Amino acid sequence: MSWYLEAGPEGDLIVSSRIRLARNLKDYPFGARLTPEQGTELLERIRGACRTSGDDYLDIHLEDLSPQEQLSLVERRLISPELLEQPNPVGLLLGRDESIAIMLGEEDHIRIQSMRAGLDLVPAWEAADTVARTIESRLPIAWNERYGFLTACPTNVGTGLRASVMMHLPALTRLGQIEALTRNLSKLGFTVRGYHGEHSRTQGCLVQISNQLTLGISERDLLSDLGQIVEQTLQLERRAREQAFGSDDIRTADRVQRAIGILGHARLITSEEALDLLSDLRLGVELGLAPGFSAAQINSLMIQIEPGTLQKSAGRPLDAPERDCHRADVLREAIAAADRATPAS
Amino acid sequence: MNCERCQRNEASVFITQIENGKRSEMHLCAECASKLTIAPFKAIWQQLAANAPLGLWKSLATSPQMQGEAAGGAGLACPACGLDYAEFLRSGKFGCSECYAAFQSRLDPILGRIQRGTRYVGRPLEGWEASILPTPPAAPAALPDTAETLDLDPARFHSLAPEQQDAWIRALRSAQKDAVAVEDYERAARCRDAIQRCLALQADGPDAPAGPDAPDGKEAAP
Ligand SMILES: [Zn+2]
Ligand SMILES: [Zn+2]
Repeated sequence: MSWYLEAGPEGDLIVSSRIRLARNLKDYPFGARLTPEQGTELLERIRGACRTSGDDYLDIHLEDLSPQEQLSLVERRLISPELLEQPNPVGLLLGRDESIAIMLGEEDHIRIQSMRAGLDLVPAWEAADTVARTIESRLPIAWNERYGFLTACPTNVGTGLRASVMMHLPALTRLGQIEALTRNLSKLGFTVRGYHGEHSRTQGCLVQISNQLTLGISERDLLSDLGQIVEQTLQLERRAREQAFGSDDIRTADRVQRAIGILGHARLITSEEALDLLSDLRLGVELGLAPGFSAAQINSLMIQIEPGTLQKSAGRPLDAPERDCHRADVLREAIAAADRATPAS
Repeated sequence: MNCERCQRNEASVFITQIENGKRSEMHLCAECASKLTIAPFKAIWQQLAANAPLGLWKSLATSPQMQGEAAGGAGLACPACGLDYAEFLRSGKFGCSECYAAFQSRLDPILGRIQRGTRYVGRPLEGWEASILPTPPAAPAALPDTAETLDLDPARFHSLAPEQQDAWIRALRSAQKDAVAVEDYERAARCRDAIQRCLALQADGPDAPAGPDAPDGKEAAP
């Protein structure tokens, strides 16, 4: 199942875990320097190797998709926005359950991504590594004993492994602690980003923590370091929650119910407002104040209300006001469905 | 870490100043750094501010230390893709996997600053077996004894595998340390000169006027 359709371990505070492994073929320049002919040849070789591996991938030709469909792939975290900006030919191999996505022709020739709901780093890495081993056994991969897997950027060389965990940190956000967290974690070699990646501000109290270092550390040590950082951040958040909201605090219940009220009745809603309200609702789920709702449902809603996915399901391009309208429709229906599913008390 | 000047933006520029032998470090965001009039670097920071999201690498690549680094690597280029060392520092990106070998003599200090270590400790490539690597029987023999080390024969040096060249340089470094330890500064200076000769030879690559038995040129990428 897709990560956004389920809630995994520690699912109350942790939205998803993600692994990315970078691999390159010998004998071809890195992504940005490929000629169109080399790019096409390279993609065919990788597709061929994956096709005969016995794994079942959907071979997606991005150039055949509408801009809305492409954007929706970004919103579902199946491809990076950079993949759509490459001058050379690119491609996507998608595992049937969407838990594995292989980007072809990004900055590195091959980027294997594995996604899981909740805090599930090691299984996610093992899944990606299995794919990587299959590819390594079929194609000549750029690797040496000194530096490991050779990548376009020296910040990825070695394991080529980037692991990230998306967490819901409403109390730390409320208490203004995210900046301090970012600063402290960066000293330890970890990056903190907002929901929309690289350069975004925190939205919906969601924060992604990932490793910066890829060389001079083994895969398992790297994952266990990140796991420990995530655990410590969880403890910080739990402590901050006691301070910011007590579970019986009427103000917290009020906040959660107001979020449900607005989500259930608004006719126009921006993505920003929706993400903040969904954060309040998620907090309600975590504190047991929102019966009928689940973390998995909120994960799924977060994707459904993004511009590309909205337009894809509408089947046509929508301008911003139209999107706000469609977004409100999606949210109202979801709240109504949850209401129907909950026996009236 | 936040910028020391505005206390607001993330610091991405690290400036080391040495005044009267005293070293001080300043941590600034690209924006503030571009406003400061540190004469020769002003233009660099301005450029940096425009590219602020590229953050870490840009600040590293354009830092005064790395400017010196670029000068030291002048003339280094990848034989497979043609990328030269200065362009690598500027963009922060390699052109192809052969670039690692081409720039190897200069990579470790850079990797040391942006990574946990400078050597790979992850799992080996699938299907790779240590035994199939040509474990160079010549390696121990190639390690120079000290006398030979100092009177370096360029042809001989070029004929060594890269790992052996590295071992040679390491041996020189330890000889230098030993010399310093016994306060034999003349010898230490000779070691230092020899190290510099080796690094220069490594940087020049096999195409430099070397011995007849320079290692095979790498096959160019298609
Ligand atoms: Zn500043
Ligand atoms: Zn190259």
